[in-house]
Amino acid sequence: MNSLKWVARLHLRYPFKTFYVLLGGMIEILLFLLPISITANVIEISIEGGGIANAKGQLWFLLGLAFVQAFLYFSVSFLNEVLAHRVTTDITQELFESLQYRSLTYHDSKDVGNIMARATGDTRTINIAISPAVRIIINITIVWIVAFIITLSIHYILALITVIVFIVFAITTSIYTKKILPLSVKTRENFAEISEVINSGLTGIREIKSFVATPWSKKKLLKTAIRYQKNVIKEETKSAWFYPIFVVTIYSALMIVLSLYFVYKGLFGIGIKEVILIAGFVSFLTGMSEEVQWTMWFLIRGKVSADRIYDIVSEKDPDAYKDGDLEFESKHATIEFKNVSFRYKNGLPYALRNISFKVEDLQTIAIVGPPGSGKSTITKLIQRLYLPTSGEILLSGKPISDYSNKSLRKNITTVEQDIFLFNLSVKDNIRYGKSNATDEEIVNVAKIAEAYDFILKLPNKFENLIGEGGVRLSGGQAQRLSIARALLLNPSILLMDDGASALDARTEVQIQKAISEILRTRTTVITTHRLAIIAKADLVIILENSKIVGLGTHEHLIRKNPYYRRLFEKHYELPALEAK
Amino acid sequence: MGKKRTDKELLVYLWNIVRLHLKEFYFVIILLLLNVAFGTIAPLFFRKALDLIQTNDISTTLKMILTPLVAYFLLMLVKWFWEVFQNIFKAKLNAQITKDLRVKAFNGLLENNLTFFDNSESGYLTSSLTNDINEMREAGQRFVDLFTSLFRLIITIGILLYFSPKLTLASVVFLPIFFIVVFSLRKYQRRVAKVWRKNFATVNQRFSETMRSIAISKSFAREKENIKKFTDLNEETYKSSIKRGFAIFIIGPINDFFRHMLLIIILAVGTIETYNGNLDVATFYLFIFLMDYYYYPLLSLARNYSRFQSLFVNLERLLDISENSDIKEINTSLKIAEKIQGEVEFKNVNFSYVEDTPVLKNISFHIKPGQRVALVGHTGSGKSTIAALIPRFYNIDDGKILIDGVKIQNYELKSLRFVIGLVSQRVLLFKGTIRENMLIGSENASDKDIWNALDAVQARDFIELLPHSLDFMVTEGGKNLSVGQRQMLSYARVLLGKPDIIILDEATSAVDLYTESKIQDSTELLLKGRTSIVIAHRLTTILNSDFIIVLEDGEIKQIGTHKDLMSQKGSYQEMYQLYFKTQSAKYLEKIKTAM
Repeated sequence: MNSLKWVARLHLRYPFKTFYVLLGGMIEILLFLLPISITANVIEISIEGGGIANAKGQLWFLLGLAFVQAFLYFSVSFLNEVLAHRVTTDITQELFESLQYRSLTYHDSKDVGNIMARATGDTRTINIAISPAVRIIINITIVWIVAFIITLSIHYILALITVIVFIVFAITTSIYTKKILPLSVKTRENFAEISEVINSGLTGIREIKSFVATPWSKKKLLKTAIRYQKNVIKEETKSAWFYPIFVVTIYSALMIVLSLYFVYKGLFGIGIKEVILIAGFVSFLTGMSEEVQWTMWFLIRGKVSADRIYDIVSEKDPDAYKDGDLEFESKHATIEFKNVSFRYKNGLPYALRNISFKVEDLQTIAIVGPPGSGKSTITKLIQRLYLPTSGEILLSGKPISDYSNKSLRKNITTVEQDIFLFNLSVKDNIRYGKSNATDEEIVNVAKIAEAYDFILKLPNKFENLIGEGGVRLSGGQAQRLSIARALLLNPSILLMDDGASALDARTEVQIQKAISEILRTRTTVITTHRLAIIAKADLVIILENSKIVGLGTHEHLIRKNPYYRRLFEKHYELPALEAK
Repeated sequence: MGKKRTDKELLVYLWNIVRLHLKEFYFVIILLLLNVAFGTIAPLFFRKALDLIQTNDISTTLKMILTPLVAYFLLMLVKWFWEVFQNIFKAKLNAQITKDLRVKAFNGLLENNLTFFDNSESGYLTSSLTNDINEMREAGQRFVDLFTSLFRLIITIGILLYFSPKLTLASVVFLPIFFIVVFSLRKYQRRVAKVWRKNFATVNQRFSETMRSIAISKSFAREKENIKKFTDLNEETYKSSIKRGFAIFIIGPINDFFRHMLLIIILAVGTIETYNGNLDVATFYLFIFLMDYYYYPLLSLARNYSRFQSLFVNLERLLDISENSDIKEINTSLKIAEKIQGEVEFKNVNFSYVEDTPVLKNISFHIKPGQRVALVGHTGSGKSTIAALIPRFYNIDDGKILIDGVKIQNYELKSLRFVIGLVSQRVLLFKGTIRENMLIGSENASDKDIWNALDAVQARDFIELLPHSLDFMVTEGGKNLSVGQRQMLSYARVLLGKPDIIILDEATSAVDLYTESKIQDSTELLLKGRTSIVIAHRLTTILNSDFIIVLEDGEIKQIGTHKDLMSQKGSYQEMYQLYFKTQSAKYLEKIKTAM
């Protein structure tokens, strides 16, 4: 299926509106043509020396027509606009939904600014293509058909000329359209670039200010804006040479000149009335055909935009995996990695190499290691946000891919390292994973996460809004909300990714206490640098360069593993190193 | 937000941009005027020919008939070419203006203060600078059309008056009614356009936020809720877009109706006048032929009026965010900060982000050049706020902040930020290569400088492992690096700028202890002689400083060396007992056995 079929199918969801717009539009344009022939009739009356009495009937008819035509015009054009908005709303919706279920690998490779340009700019373009561009094209076609009928009623040669001109007009228009198309694609791409640059400048405003990098950012935009400007000019210059209309202009001038000449010569029995009819009609025809220029242009751009959105909607996600149907229900969970290797993308170095370990039910495992050694990657794999490149992950003895996504999410929750809070109230942020949580539950987890006190100090307490990305909270506060958010789900596996790195002394102690309580009630994986927490773990994994370089209990490792000792020797007095 | 702007102010703003392209502007106008002239003169030749044929005088020769016909024909052709040129230059002018508008708005936006950015959403702002401006370009095109139309209207009425004042008067008599109807819709149109814009931007905002947080959505299985929430907003926007559609499309039928009325009037009066012998048939028809010449200008005015409405709405919104003096960072001085000794002093500083919610209360301390100071305190006690005040990200409510004895307001803002290096808690990398990210604050640094800075933060190893090394493409926000790696880059980036005062706001919180201590060792030399303010929770860091400032609820509780503070009974000692002490192996043994 291509993008046009897709858009057409979306229209068919609203058959009445679509039908009414198509049919009503045709009738409306025909009614709009009637006054031309009435005019010719009335003027003929004057030529024959008649007065207003003779013209009365025609004029009354015209008055009635005014009402009918106005009504029809309004209902058609308005419904068309409604339909266009309906369809573009649906398009936005489909785009949004299709993105929701893509794998994270897919999202990693996409740029938000770019996708946003499609969601906003491209839907607007499609909107204009549907209303009024398509309707105008239909109208024009009908006007040409009428032109053929009128000229045929006068003389077949005129009709023949009309047909030939129409064919030339249609063919040249399509050639012209094909030439414009690549330029339009280019322009849209440039526009997306602009959107990207602006968006990244605004999200990074703190860095830009702090580094006095405004000139850098401004220069970047200027560059893309100039590129866009150049392409727009190229595109519009090309489209200004809309040569098909040249043929029509000659045609209409020729028709008027010829018909006057025929009257003068007394050929074909053409009178002044016919001249007026033809003159009125061809000037209308020319006017309408001129509209083809911008309507075709909007149609092309609409097509390009529809392509761009449909590309995403229909894009295959090579990393999508089939959802399993096994329910992960047990409150007792074990985690086992068997020779797991993983990399985020082909061409990137491996983030994990040959990792094997096993966590028993209710145990706590701590993962330590330098930045980039693969700590966070392990937690992401346990959540099945990615599938391992090779090797196998077993949860409670069964392959992770067998489980249903829903049950995994319900039972495994995470306190992520890169905390993302939403611009919602504190309460809504906490109940993010469980929208039907009671106030009591929310207060409860807030207390466990030591967030309760500071929430009560906020002006609107639990209803207080958090700025975009949680900017109005300090790092530690954001972290505690994130812990509360995870605890609310009462998961059987809790993943804490560097959960305590930005907490101050008092809170850290309290959180350690709270966590200690949680630890014994569920299987927990913690990546952290805090020795106090690491020491409580049943198993410690030391990662370096994506590999396991140490595995065991704290007591064991602190005496025997040089990597492990290295982590702490600056900070603690360590027992003497024992030989293996 | 901001003050209400009059249409005149908005137009002046636009005109100031158009003025930059005055030559092109006048050129386009001249092309337009001539084009209109060609268009209106051609029908006169037609009338002439029609008149000659209709009166059917015996003295009329074929040549007399053919001359106006050929002239008519040629004029139509010239008009076509003329229009092409006109459109090309129009497009050029328009594209230039759009670019200027966008660049100017973005530049203005970047000068806003952080309070503004704290309170706005980036998706909303982006949409204003991209889609709104594009819409304004469309409106700009129509504006030129309108100008043409009005000119054509005047010429046409002049011609008609010449031929038959009576019929002309009859046909313009209802124009005022038409204008009243169209203008009365004005307010309504502007209102619904505004609502629609806002809703549209909200949808975009939600879309972009959801995209940004897709990983967390996935780990909480929130796809369904996301969709539901989005659907609500999307449908809301749909509703308001229908209202807007109504406001726009109601004009069409009103137009058509008036056009029919106009035709009826001309036909009726024309028939009577011809019957009475005051009008010849050719002129009668000329009125019909030219009818659209003065009717279409009205049509275009009416049809595009709503577009101008959105032009004004969009421009107003754009100026609200980019040219609003209330939200600008004000540069109060031209004194350049350079060769700073690094003395930092707070004198009774009070500060609040939101009115009546003080965050810092009466803060006073004095850091001598080259000293290292640790800020200690609980989450939300105001440590990061102090860090943000020194480079003047926010203006203090009262009190003074002095650097080398000079109030920071008395330094030129950019130079002030140049001498201060802030490694903030929230790290953001830009889409681009690692090199580009490193050079952001110091464009002229060599690769050698970059590697030196990277070595200092222990980042060489991992960067060398990445494909293309320094040319490795960092994705938006730095998502393809780990948080610890991002922190290292962010730290290195600040070191590269060689600031005189360096503020480390938990600069290495996501880095393991081993790497951290290596970073500490290797940056020791770089930090020597520079004033540094360190926010950290680790005992080793705190012990390394010249003195410690203990903050609690936005107030300074204690100031002094570790030794001083330990000897006082206070928050610090309490904190130490509670927590810092736990960072020792003995303590660990104890808890292990207790569990």
